[in-house]
Amino acid sequence: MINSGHYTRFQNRIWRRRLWRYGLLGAGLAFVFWVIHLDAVVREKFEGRRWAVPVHVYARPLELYVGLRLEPGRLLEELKTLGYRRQALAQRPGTYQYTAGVFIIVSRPFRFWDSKQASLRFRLTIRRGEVSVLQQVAGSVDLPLLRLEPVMVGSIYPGHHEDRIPVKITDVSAYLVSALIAIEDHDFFAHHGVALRGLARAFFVNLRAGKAVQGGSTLTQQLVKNFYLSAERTLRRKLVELIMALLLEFHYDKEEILEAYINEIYLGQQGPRAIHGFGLASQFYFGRPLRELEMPQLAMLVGMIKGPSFFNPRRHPERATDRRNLTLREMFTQGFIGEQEHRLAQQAPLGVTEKPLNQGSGHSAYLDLVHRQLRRDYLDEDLRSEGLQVFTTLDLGVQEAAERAVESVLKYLDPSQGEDSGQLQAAVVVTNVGDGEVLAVVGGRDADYAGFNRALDAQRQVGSLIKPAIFLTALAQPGRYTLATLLNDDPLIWKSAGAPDWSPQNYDRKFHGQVALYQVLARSYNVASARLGLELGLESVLKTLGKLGIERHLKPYASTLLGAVTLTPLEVTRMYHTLASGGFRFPLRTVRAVLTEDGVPLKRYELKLQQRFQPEPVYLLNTALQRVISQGTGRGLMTMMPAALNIAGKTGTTNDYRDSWFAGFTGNRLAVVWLGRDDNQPVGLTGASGALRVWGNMMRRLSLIPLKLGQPGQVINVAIDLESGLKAGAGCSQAIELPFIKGSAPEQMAPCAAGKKPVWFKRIFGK
Amino acid sequence: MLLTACPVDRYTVRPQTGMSGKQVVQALADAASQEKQAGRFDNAAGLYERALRIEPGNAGLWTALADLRYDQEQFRQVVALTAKSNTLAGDKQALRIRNWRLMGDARKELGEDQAAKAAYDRAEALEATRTRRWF
Repeated sequence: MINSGHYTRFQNRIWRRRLWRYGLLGAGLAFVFWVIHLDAVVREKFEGRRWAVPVHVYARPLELYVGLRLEPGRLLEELKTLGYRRQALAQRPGTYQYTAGVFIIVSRPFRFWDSKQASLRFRLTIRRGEVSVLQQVAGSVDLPLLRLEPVMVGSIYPGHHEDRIPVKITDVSAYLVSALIAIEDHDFFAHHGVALRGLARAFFVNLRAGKAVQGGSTLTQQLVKNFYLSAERTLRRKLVELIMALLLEFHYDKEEILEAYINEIYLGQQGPRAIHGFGLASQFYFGRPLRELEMPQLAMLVGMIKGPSFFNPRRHPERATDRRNLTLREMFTQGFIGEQEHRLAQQAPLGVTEKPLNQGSGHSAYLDLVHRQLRRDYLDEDLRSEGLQVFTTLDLGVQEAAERAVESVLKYLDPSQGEDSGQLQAAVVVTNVGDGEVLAVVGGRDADYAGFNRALDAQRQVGSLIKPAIFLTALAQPGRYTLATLLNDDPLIWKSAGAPDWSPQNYDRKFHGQVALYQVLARSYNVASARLGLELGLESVLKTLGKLGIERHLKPYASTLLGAVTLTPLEVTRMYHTLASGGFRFPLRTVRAVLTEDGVPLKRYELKLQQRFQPEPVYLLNTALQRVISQGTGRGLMTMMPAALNIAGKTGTTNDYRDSWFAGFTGNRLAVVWLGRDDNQPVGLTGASGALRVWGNMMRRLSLIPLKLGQPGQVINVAIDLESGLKAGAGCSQAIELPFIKGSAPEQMAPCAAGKKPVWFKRIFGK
Repeated sequence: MLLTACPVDRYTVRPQTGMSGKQVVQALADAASQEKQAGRFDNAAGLYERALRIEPGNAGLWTALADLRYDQEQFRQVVALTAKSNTLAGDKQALRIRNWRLMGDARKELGEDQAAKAAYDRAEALEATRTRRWF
């Protein structure tokens, strides 16, 4: 007979045991599932896209060929921006020699959108501002042309602002690996993800301190910590870290883990931009690709891992040097480098660039336009994470010229004291006439400030800049209008139902009677222009504006004819580009091609055009726009630029001098400049006294081709008497030769024609 | 009247810059022509565009690009490019004739028969003047 008390105790014991057993089993199972879960996490992230790599944006590559107009200073600047080092004997990629106009450059290999270009050691001679020799040094073989790799000008960041340039372990110097091993993890190639000795040491140190003060982490653990986990320091997190490190080592080999580490590790900060990985850190601190760094520089970067901010070589060069030398000492002690190598490396200067190259946020206005153009074709998410490479049309030389011109002219124009000081703002857009590529954008006076982009977003009244649309509408009707047609500049009162009377005034507050059409444009007479526009009909002028590239709906008010409409500088550029290209509309492009992260071409933005106008009226208009510069409101430019450039352009001024505009073009460059205040208060500048000066100051810095308007076959030149607008003859004292579309020139002789031959007649006809 | 099979680049692309510029433009046009023959149209177009950046006033380059666009069946572009070439062709009659014919071909492909005929007529008229000059 069993005692019931005994029995109950016995039963309880069995149950407790069972509970323990099941409990342990359950806990074991839970642990196994947890590990399985962690395993899935480890593998999923490591095998998928490891990082959201930002889009990297490149400027246009400098295309070198014999005959290219290029100043040595510009090439030196380009080489500096690309991080090329000047040496006595250039032999490695990314180096050059220079003496008196002769360069020897060893270019870096680069994968362009269309082909790969290998590294090349070449000689380039510049004589009188022109490339005269371009040849490969080996064998003195002439090269037809060659592209320098483009400068990376910016990135479009993922949401968390992590930036990196991923590198492959096979491209990494052995010195980088040995420095990492020496200072961060002696046993990396021996352990399985966790180094027990290091762990035990850290454990006791932490126990003594009563809190977590030491990591004792292997490279694998550090990778896990950065790659998978948050920054918290708890025991649970440490356990996860250990398990994940073991799992990582179980699945992947050391090279893969090391490669991930090299690309993951955090190495600095620039505002909101976090610098991750050695690839980007090399560019960020040394302005050069990782493969070009020397051993001491690699040691410096490795030394920084412990505290990128504390050991920042730009802010704390002494700390960075000490830390680098400690790394070097460890490398020497562990036999990675020899004694002499160690000694020389310790004496080497840090060699960091003064500021991060290629990241002058001065390009922010341009990048803004690039971003907007890309957003039409790509999801914003892809733009921020797919690591695309975007090749743009940005010309750094032109961009710099535009920024400098704005800076220097505005310093002079803006009141230096008082509450109005610093209020004057600016915007500039520059394009290549031949194909509509946007070369530079300035979005404000402070090019470093990535705020309001006036070039793209400031909607301002355009004043007389709109007038060419009126004159083009007229000149497209050769039966009615020619450049010689006399227009009436007497007072005008325009009555329209439901609106107050409109009576435009001229800038000089005078009326000028009968004036030839081309002179009305050259002198920018408002009254005659408005009357012409009303004669033609508002709708037809607005249609011309649409064909010129103004896509927004403009209201058909009479005041529109004198520019009482708001447009952005970019829209004005579009309009004038159609004129500069002879009546062909080219979509303004900032992007040439987009490549995937691996260099596979994704999309090319090719040259496209559309004929919007017949060439004849555009030719006539452009000759009139040339006269704006040679004898009209833009003649101030003649004191700044050579007359032989035959520049065509137009000034624009709005009521009370609130906006100052100038749009003009040479044979190869078109630029639009706006000056004004953000609060739309008067700035006291006309187009000629403000924007035109910036335009001239900028263009003087560029390599320009004279504007040679190709005269269409249907256009002939005829001498005209200015007074009557009729065909001039020998006796006319005020005659001028003007182009006419065949059949439109006046046939009737001017009353003065019968008189004595004046000098001009002899000059034109040689009789 | 398909002209696309003709090796256009050799005789229409005549560089206008100095001796050196000639070599560059010619080198690019030759490379473009090879890419085109190999069916790599995108690369060919890219090379023509590079050449045009160096010499935008070279009418022959615009025609060569038009020719390429014809092969790519971008007929609207052919019309615009040949028109552009015509504005730069000056007194190069042969090039003008070629442009009008190519434009006519493109118009025809676009189903714009009247415009195609007008373009062919322009070509014929120019051809006639040329022939008259010969005799």
